[in-house]
Amino acid sequence: MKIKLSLLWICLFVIAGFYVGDQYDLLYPNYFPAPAYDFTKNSLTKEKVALGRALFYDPKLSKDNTISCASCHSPYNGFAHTDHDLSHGINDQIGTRNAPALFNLAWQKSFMWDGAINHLDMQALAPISHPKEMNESIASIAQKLQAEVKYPPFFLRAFGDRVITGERILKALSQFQLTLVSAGAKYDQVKKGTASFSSQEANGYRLFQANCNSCHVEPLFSSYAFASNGLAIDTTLNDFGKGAITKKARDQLLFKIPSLRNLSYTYPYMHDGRFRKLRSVLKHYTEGIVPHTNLAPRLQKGITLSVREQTDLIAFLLTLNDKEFVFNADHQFPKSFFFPKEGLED
Amino acid sequence: MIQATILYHLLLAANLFYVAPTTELRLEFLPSYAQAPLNLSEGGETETIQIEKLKCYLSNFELYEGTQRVFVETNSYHLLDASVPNSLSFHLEIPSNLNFSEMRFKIGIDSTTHAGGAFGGDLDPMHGMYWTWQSGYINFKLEGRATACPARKNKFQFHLGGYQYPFNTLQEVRLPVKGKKMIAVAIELDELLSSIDLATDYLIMSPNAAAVKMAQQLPALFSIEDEN
Ligand code: HEC
Ligand code: HEC
Repeated sequence: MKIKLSLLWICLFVIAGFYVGDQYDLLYPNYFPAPAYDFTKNSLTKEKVALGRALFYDPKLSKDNTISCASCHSPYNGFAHTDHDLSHGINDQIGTRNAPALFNLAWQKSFMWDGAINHLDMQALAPISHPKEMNESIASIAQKLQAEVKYPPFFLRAFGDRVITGERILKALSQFQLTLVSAGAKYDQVKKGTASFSSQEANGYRLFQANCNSCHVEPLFSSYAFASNGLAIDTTLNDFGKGAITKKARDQLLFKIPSLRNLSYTYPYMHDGRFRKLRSVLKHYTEGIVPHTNLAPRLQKGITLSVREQTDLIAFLLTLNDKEFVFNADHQFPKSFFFPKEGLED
Repeated sequence: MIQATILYHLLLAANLFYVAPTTELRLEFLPSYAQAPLNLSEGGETETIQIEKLKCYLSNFELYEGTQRVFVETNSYHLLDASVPNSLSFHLEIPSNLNFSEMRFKIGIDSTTHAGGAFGGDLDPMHGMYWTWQSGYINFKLEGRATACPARKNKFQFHLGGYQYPFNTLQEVRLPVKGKKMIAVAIELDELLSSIDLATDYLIMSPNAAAVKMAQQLPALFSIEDEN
């Protein structure tokens, strides 16, 4: 009996030693592929997700405490920078690319329009350090947060002690972003058998599968590979995409294929935000493709769609809007963290 | 019966805590320039070349006896920073009575770790040895001023990194060693700096051919200083 009791104690100690918070279960539909993110190295807990959420909305992450991640990635726009073709950063400086929407990041293997970043954990370093974005350094952020009243206890809850490091900030930011799963659109309800397409949407779906699905692959609506879809080079930006990173000829003008979920919330479109309307996007695919050596073979003959078909295709694309995701309060500004005295629920 | 199985499991557990006797092999790295221990410049000196920053990752320490690998350090990542004396020496925890005649290590960070997300300790990007606009550790950083250098404030900056073909900058060092308790390794910068024409080559800040070329010169800077 005594032995059993002490064993129990040993077990409790061991468990307490490994206790790093409440497990967070990432929910996604069974027709999604397995995530690419390695959760064994950064397993989700409710505390770390909450910490990451606070960091994501905190302008302290910028040099002059004015710009947060959410300044360019707004929850109400599927975490894109809607209505800005090129993103705005510190001192109102304008960047060179459109801020992409952030969702289903757990399924992506590389990040940025040109794939410059190889892991979600390391992505945040780019905007943090960019002189036109947040103009800060991760070391200085760690110092700033360490000196705050609010953060050390938050890190204690999430990581087991109060020490704030670059690794912990980055992992917490990843955790919050990994929870941004978009899988509640009408398309998903149809998949689950709880809704059905109108005949127009069904025709659009057929056209989508015939013309777009090779790159914008269901159910994530992207293979997250790199391709050229024949956009003319904007000579004011001269952005060569992946080629500028790898310096290989065959990568020139390739950009990451974006997901087509939530398009109504994430306009304008393309890496430089050149199109404001889905009509213009379809006009590009049917009439505007500029041939060059790296143009995707699939698009070399162009895409033919009648005006009627374009309308149907757009009707289908609109079934990929995920209101449930865009208005999910769990992803929004955590009021109770920033303004605890107001006693508001977050 | 139950007590016997509990006892058995306790013994099993105790086994987990058994560790073979080990001893410390102390490593000391001694950067030098112009035949003297490296003194980082604080500005204002008049020498033609002043070194302001030397930081470098050493990783994957191994010991060999002949061609036989007899020891591998786990989680073997060490950031050397000439401005932080403590970072220039550390020890390997090796089995007692181990025979070895060669030490091998890498200058830089392996590609798996490069693509493995955020890490702590010496690998924490807080140390300023991680590129932010494009993923990748800076394997070796050397900065300073040279009168010959036409850049702003006569600065030269060499940030060597890159982990993907064809710009992989990871390098291996192999050193014959005799010491059993302490190994002192000299890092002599003279040869490197004298091979560069600072009037034309003074800036490397991304993975490219120049970075690879300079990285290939690094192993030769390392040599055994003295031993006991
Ligand atoms: C000044 C605006 C701005 C700020 C602030 C900003 N971002 Fe971004 N973000 C962008 C732009 C623009 C891109 C695309 C950059 C590129 O492709 O080169 C981007 C890309 C990303 C991506 C890659 C998405 C993908 O699909 O590849 C992630 C993830 C991301 N940002 C997260 C963050 C986080 C986390 C923060 C806060 C630490 C942040 N961003 C702050 C503008 C911003
Ligand atoms: C060969 C691969 C390929 C095919 C086929 C393809 N696309 Fe694209 N699509 C891309 C790439 C690559 C981009 C990003 C281009 C850029 O920004 O430079 C893109 C961007 C988009 C965007 C902008 C999304 C955003 O968030 O900015 C929309 C909308 C889009 N495509 C719709 C379609 C439709 C509809 C079809 C079928 C008619 C289609 N695409 C066929 C590769 C493809």
